[in-house]
Amino acid sequence: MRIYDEVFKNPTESACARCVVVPGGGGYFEGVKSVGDFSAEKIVVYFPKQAVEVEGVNLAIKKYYDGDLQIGGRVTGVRVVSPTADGGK
Amino acid sequence: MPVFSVKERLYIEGLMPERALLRLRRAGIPVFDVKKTDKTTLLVSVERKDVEKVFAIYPNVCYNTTKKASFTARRAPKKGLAKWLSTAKKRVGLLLGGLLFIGLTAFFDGFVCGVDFVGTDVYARETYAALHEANIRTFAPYRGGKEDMVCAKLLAIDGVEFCSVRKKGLRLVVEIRVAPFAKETAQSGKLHAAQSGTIVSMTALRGTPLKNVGDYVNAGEPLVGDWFSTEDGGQVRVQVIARVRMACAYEGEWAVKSEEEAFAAAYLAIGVAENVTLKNREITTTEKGTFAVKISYEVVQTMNF
Repeated sequence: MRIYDEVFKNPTESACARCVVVPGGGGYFEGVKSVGDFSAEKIVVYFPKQAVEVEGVNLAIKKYYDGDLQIGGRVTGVRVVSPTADGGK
Repeated sequence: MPVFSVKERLYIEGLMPERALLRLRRAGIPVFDVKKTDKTTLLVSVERKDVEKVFAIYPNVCYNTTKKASFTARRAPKKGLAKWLSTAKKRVGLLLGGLLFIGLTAFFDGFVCGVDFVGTDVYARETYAALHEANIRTFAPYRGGKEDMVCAKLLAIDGVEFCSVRKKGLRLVVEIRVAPFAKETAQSGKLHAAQSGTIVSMTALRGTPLKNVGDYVNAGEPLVGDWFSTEDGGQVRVQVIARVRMACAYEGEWAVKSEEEAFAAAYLAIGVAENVTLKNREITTTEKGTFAVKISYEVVQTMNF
């Protein structure tokens, strides 16, 4: 996974948020600060500096611990919503 | 990370319950299988060791307390194996009783507690003897494999044309069929006098003597009854086993040509052939030219003797 470290690493800061989505499957997100709007069709994931909207079918949070979030179901789309995080309260 | 961990399901209720996940994350509590069951409720799974921590953060608030909580947590009903394990813990006595019953049933299923006869039980004594030789006993573990040996012994008995031995539950079923024209081995009913005479001796092994030695009886009168009386005044029906010896006498006149013919005719007129012992005979010639025959004899009558 060294290529991921190279790609995702910020030269001035430590590794920031990253997400891995399996086509037709779920997704894995690191560096998650909080979870926002949550339903079977949409999950909003907040990172320190941006928010990501995950759309799909039968979405569910399989595991959420220490900034790592695993989403189950079938992810059909991932969209960066805004550069600011307002779910970290 | 343990290979196998037990998780408990909890409901977290409140406005925007997703925000509750943030506090759990900050507390270092991993959550699994998070589902939103309705607008204000999340169904989450946490490891059993973290359940107390979740309730410490989000207590299950009762109606009669003024303590405010933005979110509340409560246990979800168990399902699957966890549900059955929980039920079994509450019914330990029932479970142990059931296991004990099954164990005892399986253990005692190998025992024989009695013998049932099908067809006829006339040869019960011989059957028990054969079973004893084959080491098959009641109220003892059943040792199979010798049924053929028992059947062979019973089939050797005169009159038995079919025999089978099998274990059915806790009973041993012995089926014996005798041939339809086999000699009767037991007569039933009373012992009646076949001849008129005086009883000389009487032996009744089973049954009730109705006459005494020295009594004069007529032909057809009952000598031994097929019952015996119990202490409480009742009667029990039995098969008579008895032997009676009677002294009888015959007198008759015969118009024949010789004494031998007269004796022969008188002997035929007596009517018995077996178990007859002639004691005395006297043949005289009458004035009319006939022969007067007097015969005294003893006859032995038996029943199942």
